[in-house]
Formats: sequence, C-alpha cells, structure tokens
Amino acid sequence: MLAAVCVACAVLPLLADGQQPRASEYQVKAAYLFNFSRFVSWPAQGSGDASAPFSICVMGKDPFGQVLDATVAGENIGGKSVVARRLAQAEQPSNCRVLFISSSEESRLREILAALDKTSVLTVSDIAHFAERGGMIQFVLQDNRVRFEVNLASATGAKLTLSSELLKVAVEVRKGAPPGQ
Amino acid sequence: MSLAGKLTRMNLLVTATGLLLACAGFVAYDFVTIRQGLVNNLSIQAQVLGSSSVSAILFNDRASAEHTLAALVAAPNVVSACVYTPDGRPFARYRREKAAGIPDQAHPQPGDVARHWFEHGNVLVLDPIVFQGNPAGFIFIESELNAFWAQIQKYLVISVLVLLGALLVAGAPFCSRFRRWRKLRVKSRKNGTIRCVREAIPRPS
Repeated sequence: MLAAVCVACAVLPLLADGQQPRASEYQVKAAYLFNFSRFVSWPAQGSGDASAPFSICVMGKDPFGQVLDATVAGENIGGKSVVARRLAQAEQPSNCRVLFISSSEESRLREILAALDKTSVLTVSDIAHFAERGGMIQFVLQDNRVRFEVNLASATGAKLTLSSELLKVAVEVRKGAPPGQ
Repeated sequence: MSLAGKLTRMNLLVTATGLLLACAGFVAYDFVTIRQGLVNNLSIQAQVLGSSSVSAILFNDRASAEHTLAALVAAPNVVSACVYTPDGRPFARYRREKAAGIPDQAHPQPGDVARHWFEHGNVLVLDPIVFQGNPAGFIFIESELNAFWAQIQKYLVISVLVLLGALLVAGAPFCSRFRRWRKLRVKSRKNGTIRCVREAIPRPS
C-alpha cells in the first residue's frame, strides 16, 4: 500500500516541477482516480457481497494502459483490495465503485448516466462538459496541470458523500440540481 | 554587633535563601513546562495544518496548500512554514511578512518521525502528515520564542516582588526603627490605660 501511495504522491508534483521528468497525463489521472476513492464515502451495501473487491472500472477505450493497474496494485480502501477493471461493451457498471467513462463513449454518455441513475457509482471522465451533463467528477487541464470539477448534486443524488477536502481542491463545485430533477 | 542584630541577620538570610530556592524551583519548573507546552501547541498546529493539506498534496494543488498555510497569519509567533511531499520536496511555503525565516529548511527524509529542535532562538517543529495510515508528506513550522520569554520574564518579576515582600515582612520586626515605633506604641497605650483608670476612679474629696 505504501508503495502505491508513494507512487501516487510522487507522480503528482512532477507536473509542477519543471526540472524533473513530467508524469504523463494519464499517470496523473490514474493517481487521481485512486485518490478520489479515498475522499468519498459510499452508502453501506446491505445485500452486497462483503468480500467483493473495490472496483475502479474503465468504460470504453482504455487510455490508462498498465498505469492504472500499477497505481492500485496492493492498495485497499475500507479493508477491500482495490482492482482495476475494464468493462466489456455490454457489461453493467453497477458493481463498480468508481467508473471512468472514456471519451470514446461520449456519444453514449446520456444513456450511460441514465443507466447509472440510483446506483452509488462515482462517475469520472475527461469528456468535455461531463460535470455539466450530470457526471460527478470531470478532469480538466489547467495550465498543463490536471485539475477536476465536481458536480456535488449528482454525487449527493447517488448517495455518495464527498469529503470537504476533495471539494477544497476542485476547480469548480457545481451545487445545482442534476439534470432531470 | 548585638545578639539581636545577629539573630535578625541570620533570620533574614535563612528566609531569603529559602525563598530564593523556592522561586528558582518554580521558575525552572515553569521554564520547562511552558517550553514543552509551546512545542506541544506548535505540534498540534502542525498536525491540524498537515491534515488540511493532505488533499492538496494528493491532488497537486499548491495554491490550496499555500492557502491553508496562510492561516498562520493569525499566529504572530510563527515565522515560516512549509509543506513537503512524502519524498521531502518543498510543496508549499509560508513566510510571515518581513520575517527572515527560511520556510523550507527542514529537509525531511522519507520515514522521518515527528521532531522539534531549537535554533537561533526559535523553536522548529517537523511533523509527518499521515493520511489513512500512510505517509502523505511533512509539515514544518518555525516559531519565535517571544511569548515564552515574555512569560518567563513575568514569572521572574513576580518572584522578585514576592521575595522582596517576604523579606520586608520577615525583617520588619527586627528593624531598629520598627522596634522603637513599637516601644512608643506600647508606651502610649500604657499611658492611655493609666489615664482611663485615673478618670474612672473617683478621687476622694
């Protein structure tokens, strides 16, 4: 666990230090994806499988490659081991705790988000206007640095509790009602 | 010197020595406890700021960490502060206006534990930032000892005043002027009593 945290912590500041090799955009996003999980509380799953791992899923064309697997390797959140999963085309993401929706799925975004309605899955993407369109966390690039926007209303609607520490570092926190409400 | 004078001096000397030792003991105790209290308070401050900086480190948000450190402006004794990444690289700094402190002088190494030290008349505290059981970075705070010295000075002044007061009270009964004043007072009381008695008893006609 220590190794992965060190990777996550060491990779991120590289973006800001000009003298050192820069971490790739998706290295940083993978670290962020894992770190989001540490600042979000999911509702207790009464009938869920207690032994099921904590899944961070990728839907669509995977931009992370092995980076995401390396980031979550050996990690655990709330006593559950963290695994990175790539979803097949027809696979339902309801067993995922965190779902990264790849930009290849932009045309299906409305459909995907509608299918996730009433499920406690943290949705993350770098699709433009993702947070505006009802997604929970959207990666944005600001001055060549990876930042993120949060749609708090969407997260609250999915019964997810986002830590104030997470909101503190978001570039924008949308508090309005999610679309469709 | 008369025997009374010798006794007076000896009494004063014993009193003074006792009080001096007591005062020195109290001041020494206060010196240690106030200093320890100052370090504890600074360490608590570091832990609070450190836990508020975790997300800033994990999400590489320097501005947020600097904003958190800027809260130290409310602590005028704090000269400088710095948040470090887990591998010991400076991440965000704070320096009090017009202060000469160097915010990133701690140079922590991975695995470093909480420590404090005194340097150039200031106290310096380094605390590891731990998040969910894992190291997330370090926080360093340098504080002046002005408040500490002011407190010690206050205790010293009180001790000296108590010492002088006690010596005055202890020495007064043996002072020659006091003895003379007491003799006069007793004499005048006696005279007053005689006068009263004389006035109360009717003279035989």
